[in-house]
Amino acid sequence: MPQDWNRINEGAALTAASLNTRFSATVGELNALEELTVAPYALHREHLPSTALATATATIGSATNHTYDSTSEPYPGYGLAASWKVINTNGSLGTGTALLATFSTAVDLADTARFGGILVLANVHFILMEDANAAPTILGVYNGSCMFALQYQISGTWYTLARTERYASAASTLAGTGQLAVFKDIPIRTYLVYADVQGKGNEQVQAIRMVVSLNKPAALAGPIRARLRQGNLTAIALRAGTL
Amino acid sequence: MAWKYPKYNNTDGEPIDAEAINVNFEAFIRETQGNLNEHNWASGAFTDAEDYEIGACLRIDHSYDEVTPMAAQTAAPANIAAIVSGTAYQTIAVYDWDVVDSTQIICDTALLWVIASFQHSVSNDFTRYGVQYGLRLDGVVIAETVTGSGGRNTDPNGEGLDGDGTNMPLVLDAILPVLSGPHTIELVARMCTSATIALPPTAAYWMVCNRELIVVEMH
Repeated sequence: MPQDWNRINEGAALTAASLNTRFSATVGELNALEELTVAPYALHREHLPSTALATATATIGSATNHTYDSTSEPYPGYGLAASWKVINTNGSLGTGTALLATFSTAVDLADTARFGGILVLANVHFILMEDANAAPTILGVYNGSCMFALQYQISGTWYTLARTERYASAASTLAGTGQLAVFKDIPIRTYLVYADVQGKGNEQVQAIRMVVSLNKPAALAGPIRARLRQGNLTAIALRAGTL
Repeated sequence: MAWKYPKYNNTDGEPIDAEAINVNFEAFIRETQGNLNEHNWASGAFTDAEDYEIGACLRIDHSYDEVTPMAAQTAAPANIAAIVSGTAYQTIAVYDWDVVDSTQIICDTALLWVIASFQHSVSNDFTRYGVQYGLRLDGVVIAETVTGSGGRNTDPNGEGLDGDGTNMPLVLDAILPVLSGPHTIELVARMCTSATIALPPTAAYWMVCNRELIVVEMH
């Protein structure tokens, strides 16, 4: 606790020992400052480092739909990385602006003394499911699913985080209206930690992206397509402990 | 406040005065008696995050369950529970709130950012009964997080999500102030009526597959 100064009285011997004792007490105080030594409200925002050690964001503000189909982006199976397509403004071509957020410096999740994990927040707008005819027809429910997932990149290789796999199907027909588009927001949240990325050679996460594929029923004849639109993805590497 | 220059200087050739030493040191000691403030630290002294213990500002609890999705269907499955693998949750066939996922934490007085990210899946009879999801803190459902209208007079499809039968992912989140101590945070679900069927459901119709519950304690 805060130190009291033991005064040197008038007429008392002023010796090396009496001074050293007091200096030692003062040094001890400086080396173990406690909460009580700091004035209330003394520390400000400027004294605190950010708990967001690294951030990466990506946005697709596409004014037009981008399409994906079950021929070029077939669902590969749970947790697998192949044949997913990164969501991008050119759809199956894959050449557009992508929903892919790259960290300026890779986040080393093995450094558990520094990083708690990466909080990922991703959304994309799912417009509709349709067949792949020249004049496509909007599909109803039980015509397959549009699959979504988050992938992370380590040493240039993309890995699917299986627990983030989500899916949305077309809407069912409402009486008298014909088939309707879906128009749903597809949200995914996850907290990526060291245990998730082990066994990949290293644990330095370079980027996060949102991907899409189509899960077509085997009994359905032709391919199916999905149309997507705007999306955003934010990845925040947090300095956070375990609650 | 910032440290001040010592009041007395000892001079060569003069006797040392004990009182001068007392006064000089007392000024310093008073600084450490609750008067240290922003002026006592160098600019940028704490800008490295590692100056702080890793959980000083944020602590996070997260848990998840994985469920391999069912193969794409061409018709309503007779028993959805039989065609998914893993720890899929199925709603109970009553109107009561039921726990999909839960976590228990012990935290300080803080704000909790609760995030539930999950997959809502279609049942075998999607045209009849709706479902609602919500977050529950220590036994109290947070009304603002409940999906659907909760009232048939404001929603022609009845309470909650129902009838268009689509699979879709959902995220519920809320920032909740809590006092220090143990807390139980849950993602809950319940069956509810639709505009066409008001009778209590006779079977569970909805599934929750992949899901993740994240709780961020923010200081």
